[in-house]
Amino acid sequence: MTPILAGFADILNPVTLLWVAAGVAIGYLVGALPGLGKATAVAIAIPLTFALPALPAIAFLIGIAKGSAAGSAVSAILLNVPGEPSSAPTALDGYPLARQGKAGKALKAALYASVLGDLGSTLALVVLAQPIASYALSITPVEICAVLLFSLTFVAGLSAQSLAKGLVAACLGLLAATVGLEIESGLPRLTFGDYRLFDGIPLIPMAIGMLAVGEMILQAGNRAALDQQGASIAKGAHPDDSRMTRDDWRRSAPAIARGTAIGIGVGILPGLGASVGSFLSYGAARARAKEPERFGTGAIEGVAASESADNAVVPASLIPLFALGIPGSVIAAILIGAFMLHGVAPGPLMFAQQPRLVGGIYAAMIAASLALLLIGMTLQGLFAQVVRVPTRRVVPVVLFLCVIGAWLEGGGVFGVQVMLVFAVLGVVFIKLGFSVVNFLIGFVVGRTFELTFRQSIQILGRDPWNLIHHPIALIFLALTAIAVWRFTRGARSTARKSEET
Amino acid sequence: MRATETIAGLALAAFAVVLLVWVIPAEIPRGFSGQLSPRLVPQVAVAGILALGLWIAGAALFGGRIPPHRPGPFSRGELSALVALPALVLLALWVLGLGGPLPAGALLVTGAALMMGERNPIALVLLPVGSLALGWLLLYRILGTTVG
Amino acid sequence: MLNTLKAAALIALTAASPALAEWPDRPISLIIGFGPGGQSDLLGRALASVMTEELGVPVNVVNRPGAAGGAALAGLRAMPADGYNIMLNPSQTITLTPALMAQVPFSIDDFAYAGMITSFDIALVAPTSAPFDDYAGMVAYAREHPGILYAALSATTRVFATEIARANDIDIEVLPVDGGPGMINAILGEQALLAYSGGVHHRYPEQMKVIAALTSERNIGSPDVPTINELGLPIGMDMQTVLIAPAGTPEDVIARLEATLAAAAENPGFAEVAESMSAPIQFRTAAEATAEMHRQLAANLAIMQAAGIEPQ
Repeated sequence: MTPILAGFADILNPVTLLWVAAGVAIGYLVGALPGLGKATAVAIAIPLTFALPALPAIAFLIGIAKGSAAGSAVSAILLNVPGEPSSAPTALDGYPLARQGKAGKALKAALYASVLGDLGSTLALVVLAQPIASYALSITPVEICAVLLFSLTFVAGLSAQSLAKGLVAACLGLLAATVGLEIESGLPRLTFGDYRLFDGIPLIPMAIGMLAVGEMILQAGNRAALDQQGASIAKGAHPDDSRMTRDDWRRSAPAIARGTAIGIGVGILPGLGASVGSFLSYGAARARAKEPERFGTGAIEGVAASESADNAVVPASLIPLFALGIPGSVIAAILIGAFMLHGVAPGPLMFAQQPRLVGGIYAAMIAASLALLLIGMTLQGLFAQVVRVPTRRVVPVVLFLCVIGAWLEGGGVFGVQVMLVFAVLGVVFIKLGFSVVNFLIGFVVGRTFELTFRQSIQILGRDPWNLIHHPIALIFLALTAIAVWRFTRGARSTARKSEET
Repeated sequence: MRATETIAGLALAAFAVVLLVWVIPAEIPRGFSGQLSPRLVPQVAVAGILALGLWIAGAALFGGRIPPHRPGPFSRGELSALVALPALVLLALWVLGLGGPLPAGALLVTGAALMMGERNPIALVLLPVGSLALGWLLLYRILGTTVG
Repeated sequence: MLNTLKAAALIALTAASPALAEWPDRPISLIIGFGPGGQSDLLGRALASVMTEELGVPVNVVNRPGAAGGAALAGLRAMPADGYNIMLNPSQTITLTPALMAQVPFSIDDFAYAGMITSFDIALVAPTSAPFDDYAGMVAYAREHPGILYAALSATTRVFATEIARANDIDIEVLPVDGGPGMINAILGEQALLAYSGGVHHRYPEQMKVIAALTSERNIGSPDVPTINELGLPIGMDMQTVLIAPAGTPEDVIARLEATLAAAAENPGFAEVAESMSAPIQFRTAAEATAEMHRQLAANLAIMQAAGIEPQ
């Protein structure tokens, strides 16, 4: 234990603290710029980590991951342009709040939720990483497949206006996810002979197109109306509009607690990712709400639910990495590279061989949570000024950044083309009342769901009775059945209600 | 309103039929025996789209109340933006191949500003200059990569 | 100020007479066919920093992910053959893809090869807890326990399981996994007893053991383990990272690139990165690399044909 404590002291080195703060600040800035996300931020960091010693390098990378997860809420709230797919649910309620002149309140709610989710998840990592190791190994693709099936039922919960339209959007997302080489057979599907589609449709350009460029097309089409609104959106008249009131906290606290727990769970399971975490948390908050119809019109707890889970995934995804050496997320896979560069083998041996470094990393992660709070509050004041700039001057810059983001993430011209195709599709979706978020859930979950389903068939030896050896999977299958039953019953009763009125 | 819903539902159903009958058999190989067919998941998704498309169209034709959706049907301005903005980006990509990143980026930002109704000449100069400087800093200085 | 002017005049002069210009006189793009942060990217960045030192111009890393480098290769093919666009990629994207796919948007003759720098220790691995330690033990165990699971990343990697099963008349089932992290997960979680590894197993010496090398020569990291060819099944397939330029790149440019690559192979900074990526350094000259690419393509096509795999 003492070497771990000594590691905690290592973080007090001002140079290391500076790298933590720099990582969080860069991550927050890049995350807040629409179109650019975590991957861009990490690409900025990789060359730097060659030059740094182990602890500052790893602290810097972790700071970037945490900062960008929180920063992506800023553009989601202010511009309705999520910096990353995982912040798409944040925009659902954050942007309406901003339109009501409550941008300051929404930004604060997002930041506090991010910091609390992050801190809770970091503490879970510190306490749980070692004891949880043996449990994590019992999580096979069978369990993950069941969890994904369960998470798909929340699609119905997010279909506020029409269940049929919500489901159709998810089905289209699922179909889009099958484009590319199928992993088991290695055969191309729906690629029309274009090799650039072999890895599937790239997610980031697709999300930028549907969420950001689609929104800008609509803003360009309604520019006269928007310029008049611009004046009133700038700042709410009441001081309560730009801070969290006691009532806001009362609504948000349970959502943050639930979101943190969901984020930790999703982070531990390999291959799910932050998007699944924030979608699930938002869906759960809506399902538990007394007045679910407030969601989508500016419910503060929607912002809190989405952002707390989004950030909680980041530290939790390091639990399988530290405890077992399994990279559970993209950021964890990149961190392995950084670990190896500095002669550290991630995994259980790390605690025995490098306890001081482990202590230092833990302390750096807690410091990063606190740095996130300070840096976020400082930068938010700056970003909130964006609402004062007329839309006609914001849109060109945002479009430029989106093209750069799609170019970087989609492999050049192809990424920009993908972005444009899905921008047009996104506009059609919005105008006809189909949910863009459901489409993205179908897409994000679809690929992993199909793979884990194929893996489950092999692991179960093609005999469904072998499911008995997977009690966690059985629990989630039962939960799925209950959720489906509740939604169909709920749909029937609302239908009856609407007939009566 | 009702007509839009009906057409959207029927269009989805037609799209699904085209996929089921022609596109999937042509574009997805049958796969190997002893595995799930690569066609299975696409077929399930498309079957869902077919059923739900018919449901939407049916509900609009025979059902009671149509649930309202947010912004309503297309306005003239939105339709022209739907064509103009992607066209602008494609034009910028074409210029990128001809003249490199500077004119392409300037065209993209200035074009978008004009499209949004910006007429102030100072803003029309400062916006592309600022954006290009930001892009140069990010791509060439910080990321050490190139465009074009 | 005067110096800047002189330099500007010099640049203007050299730019005006490209035929006389000494390569390189402007920044070079080193294309990586994978996203940032992976093994190929980190190796590429380490190589780029050595090249920047050696050549005296900036060498920028450009990530063009897609189809294991295939998307980037198809783009490189159409670029001017002037030495300013080069690419570092695993060789199998060129030497194995034609055996699996009917339509490949590039071929071995579209490129010039400036040399190879690292090789991959491709191997058949098992979790340390597996009830066998070598190939013969594995075959015996599989005979008694039909249907043991082999984690495969792709159609190519599955071929090893089907061929081993066919040659020994045993039953091996394939567990499809998503990339290297998926393989690590399947082995550490003991969901699969066997897996294909492209060299990542060197990072997990306590948790994984090598059953056989799946290359034609023994793995550099585990020289005591026999190859699959030595074990009587000639299906070993080799892979190296190769420096690629569009076909028609001038001879002297290729020679400069080859010399730079040789310098990188000796560079301690590069060695450190390669070591941490468990990528053994094995330098080959341009001529050797070109010969190796053609040998590999012919060998791989023959293996796949013998296994009854038709390009789709």
